Amino acid sequence: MLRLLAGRLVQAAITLALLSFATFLLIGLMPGDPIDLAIAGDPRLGAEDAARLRALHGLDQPLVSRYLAWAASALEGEFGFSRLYARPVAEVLADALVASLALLLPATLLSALIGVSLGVLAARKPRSRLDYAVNFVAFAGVSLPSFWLGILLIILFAVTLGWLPAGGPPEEPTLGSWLRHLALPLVTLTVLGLASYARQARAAMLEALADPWIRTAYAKGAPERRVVLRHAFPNAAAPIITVAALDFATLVSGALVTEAVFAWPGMGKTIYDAILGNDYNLALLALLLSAAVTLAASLFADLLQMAIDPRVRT
Amino acid sequence: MRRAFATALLATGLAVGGACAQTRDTLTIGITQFPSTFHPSIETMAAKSYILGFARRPVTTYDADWKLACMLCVRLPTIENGDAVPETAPNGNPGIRVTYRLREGAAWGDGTPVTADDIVFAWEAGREPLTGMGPAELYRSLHRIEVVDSRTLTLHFDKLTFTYNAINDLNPLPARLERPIWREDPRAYRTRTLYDREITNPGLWNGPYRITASQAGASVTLERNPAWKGAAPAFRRIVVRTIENTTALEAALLAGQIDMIAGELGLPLDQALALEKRAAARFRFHYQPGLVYEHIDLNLDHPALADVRVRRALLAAIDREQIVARLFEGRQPVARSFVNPLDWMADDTIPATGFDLALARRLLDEAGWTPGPDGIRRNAAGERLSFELMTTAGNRSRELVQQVLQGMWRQAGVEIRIRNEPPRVFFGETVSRRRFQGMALFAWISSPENVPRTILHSTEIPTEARNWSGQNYTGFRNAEVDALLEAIPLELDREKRRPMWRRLQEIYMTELPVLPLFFRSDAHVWPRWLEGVRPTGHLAPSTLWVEEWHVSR
Repeated sequence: MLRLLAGRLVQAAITLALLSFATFLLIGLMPGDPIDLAIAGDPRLGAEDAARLRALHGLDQPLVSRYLAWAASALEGEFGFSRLYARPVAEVLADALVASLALLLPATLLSALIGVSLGVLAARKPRSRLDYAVNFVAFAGVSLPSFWLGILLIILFAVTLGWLPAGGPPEEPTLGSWLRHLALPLVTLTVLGLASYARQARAAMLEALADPWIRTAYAKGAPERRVVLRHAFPNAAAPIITVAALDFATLVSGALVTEAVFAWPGMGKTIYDAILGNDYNLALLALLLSAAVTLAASLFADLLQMAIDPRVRT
Repeated sequence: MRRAFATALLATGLAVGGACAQTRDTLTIGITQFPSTFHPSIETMAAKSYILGFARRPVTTYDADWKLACMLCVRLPTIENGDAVPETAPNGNPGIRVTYRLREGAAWGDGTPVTADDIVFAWEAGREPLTGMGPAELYRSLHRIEVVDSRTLTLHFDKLTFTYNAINDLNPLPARLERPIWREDPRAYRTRTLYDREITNPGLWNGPYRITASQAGASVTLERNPAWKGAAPAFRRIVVRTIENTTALEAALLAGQIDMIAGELGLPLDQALALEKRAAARFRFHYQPGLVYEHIDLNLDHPALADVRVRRALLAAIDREQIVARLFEGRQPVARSFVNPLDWMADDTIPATGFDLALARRLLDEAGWTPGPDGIRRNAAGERLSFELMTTAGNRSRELVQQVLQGMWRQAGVEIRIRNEPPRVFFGETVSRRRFQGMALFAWISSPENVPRTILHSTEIPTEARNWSGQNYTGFRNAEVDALLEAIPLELDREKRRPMWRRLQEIYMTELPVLPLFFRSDAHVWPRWLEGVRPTGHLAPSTLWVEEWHVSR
C-alpha cells in the first residue's frame, strides 16, 4: 500500500511539474500580452511606455526564463501577485475557493444523494413509471444548458415572483441571507449534476441486481431493502465513486457558466479571467491546485474502491 | 382576531414603508466589470474610473458639457487670467508654468487636508519608471514643480500645447500614507499600495464618499465621507455591484436587486432598447452619445484599397443612416468624420458622403473594376474585388452591422468575407500588428478635442522596429495631415485652431483611410425616482458629480 502511495505521489509531482510548464507555455503563446491589450484600450500609451512596461513586468524576457523564475519562486512557496486583482494570488484564490466551495460542495452532495437514490429506485423496477420518470429527469439534466436553466430560474423566482435574489453573494453575512442567495445557483447545479449520478447508479444497479448472488440472497429470504443496500449497492458503487471523484475535482475548478449567470465570484470565473487577462501567477496556481485536487481525488477513489471491492486489490 | 389581523397589516405597512425609506437611503448600481486595482494612477479602466468618481476628485476634468473644469482647484489657470505664463523650458523649447490653487477645505477622509505635497508625490511616483504607471507623457513633460504654499503650486511644462492647463491624469495621492510605501521600494509599490491592501482606509479618499467595503469581483460599498466639505450627497450609502453577464444584470434590475444600470458599463444598446419596450413604466432610459467611435480601418497596403476611388466607393455604397435607424432605432449619431458632433470643432460644412449606390458603381468602374458574371467586380487581371472584414467575435452588435454591410457592398459588386476573432487575438495581434488583410471594424475612445496623432500620423504606423506601438493601423501617410497633427496642439487660440481642424476633417473624409460608421451611445437605466445624473459621453464618469444626484420629490 505504501509503495503504491509513494509511486502515485511521484507520478503526481511529475504531472504537476509538466502541467505547470505546459500551462505557462500555452498562456505565453496566446496572441497579445497585457501591454498589447493596454495599448489597444488607451491610445495615449506610446512606444516608450510599451517598452518600459514590458521591461518592468519582465515580458521582454524569453518565455522559458520567465517560467524558470516563476518555478524557483513557487518552490519557495512564493506564488507572487495577481496582475488582475493587485493582491497576492493565494489571497485571491482563497476567496474564490471559499465562494466556490460554499456553492459547489452542497450542490455536489445533493446531486450525489438525490441522483444515486433515484438511480437505485429506478433500477429496482426497470420499465416502471418511476424508471421512466427518472430517465426523463436524467436526460433533461444532461441536455439542459446550465445558462438556460439558470436564467429560467432567475426569471421565475427573482423577477416574476420576487422570492429570491437574482444572484451575487449576499451583502449581509447571515445564514439566512447566504441561503437565499445560494438557493437558485444551488438548484441549477443540483439538477444538472444529479443526472449523471442517476444514470450511473441506475446502470450499475441494474447490472448488479442481475448477478446470481442477488438471486441467492432473495432465495435465502433476505428482505429487499437488505438485498439492495447490502448486497447489490456495494457492487454497483465503483463507477459511482469514479463519477464522485471527478465531481470533487470540479469543486476547485468551479462552474464557470453558472458562476457567470449568477454573478458568483468563484473559481471558474477567476480561472477564466486569469487566462484571458494573462495573469500568469493566478492562472498557474489555480490550474495547479485544480490538477492536484483531481489527482488526489482520483487516488482517493482508487483507494476507496480497493477498500470496498476485494477484486481490485489483486 | 380582526384586531390581530389589523395589527399585522399595520406592521406590514410600517415594514414596507421602512423598507422604501431604506431603499431611498441606499442606491444600488449595477455595472459589468470589477476594477483590477483601485489605485487612481495605475492602469486605465472604466470600472475603476466609475467607482472612484464617488470617492475622489481630480484637480481638473472635462465636465458634462465637454469643457475643462476645476474640481479640486479654485479656478482654472489660463494665460488670460495670468495663472499660466509661457516660458522657455530648460531644453530650449517653448514651455509654460501653470499655477493651481487648491480649494480650501479639500480634505482626505481622515481629516488631513489635500495639499500641494499630495500632487508632488503623485508626480514623483509617476515619473519614476519603476513605479509602472500607464501613459508617462504628462510626467515627462512636467519637469519641475514649485510649491508656493500648502495649497498653491506651480507646474513647469517643457512643451506648450492648448491643453496646458488640463492635468486630469495627475491624480493627487495622499503623500502621508503612500510616500513611505513607495520610497521603500518603487518597483513593489503597485503591489503594496494601500489602495489595494487597505481600501477602506479613509485617508485615501477625498470625494463625497469613501469606500467602506469591497468584495473582490462582486461589489463595492461606499458611504458618505465625513471630511467632505462640498454639497452633501443625497444617499447615505451607495453599493456598486458587478454582474458581468448582461442578461443576469437585467434580471437583477427587474428583480429589484439593483436600482439602476450605469450607462458607462452597462447594457449593450440593443438590449437596452428591448428592455425599454417592456419596462419603460418602471425605469427611465437615457441614451448618451459619446466618444466611442465605431469605424472600419482599411489596410492601405491592400492593392485595391490603396486606390482612393475604391475607398470612396465603399463609403458611398453603405447606407449608414439606415443602419443606425434600423439596428439602433436612431439612438447613435452617424459619424461625419472622426470628430464627434458634440465636440466644438465638428464641422457641418464638410461635404458628407451619403448613401449613393450609383456613385459607388461609377467610381468602381473608373477604378477598373467591372461586374463579373456572378455580380462581383473584377479587374483587368481577372482578380475579384473581394475583402476580408474582421471584427471582435461575440460582439452581437458589430456582427450584425457586419452582415448588413456585407449585403450593401454586394449590391455594388464588392465581395466581403467575414472572419472574426476573439477580442484578445483581434486587438493583441491582428490589428496591432497590421495583420488584417482588408478591413477591421472596431472602436476608438478618446477625450474632447483629442488630437488623433497616434492614429493618423505617418510616424505612428506600428512596425516591429518600434515594438508595434502606434495606432495608425491603416498605414496612412499624408504630409499635410502630419503637419496639421503637429501644428494643432501648439496653437493656443481656439479660433485659429478651427480652420486647422476643418482641414484635417476634410482630408480625412476625402482620403478615407478609415470608413466612419457611427458614435456609440451609452444606455443609462435609472429608477424613475432618481434625478440629477448627467452622463458625459467621455471618459470622465457621471459619478464625479454625484452630489447632484437626488431622489425626486
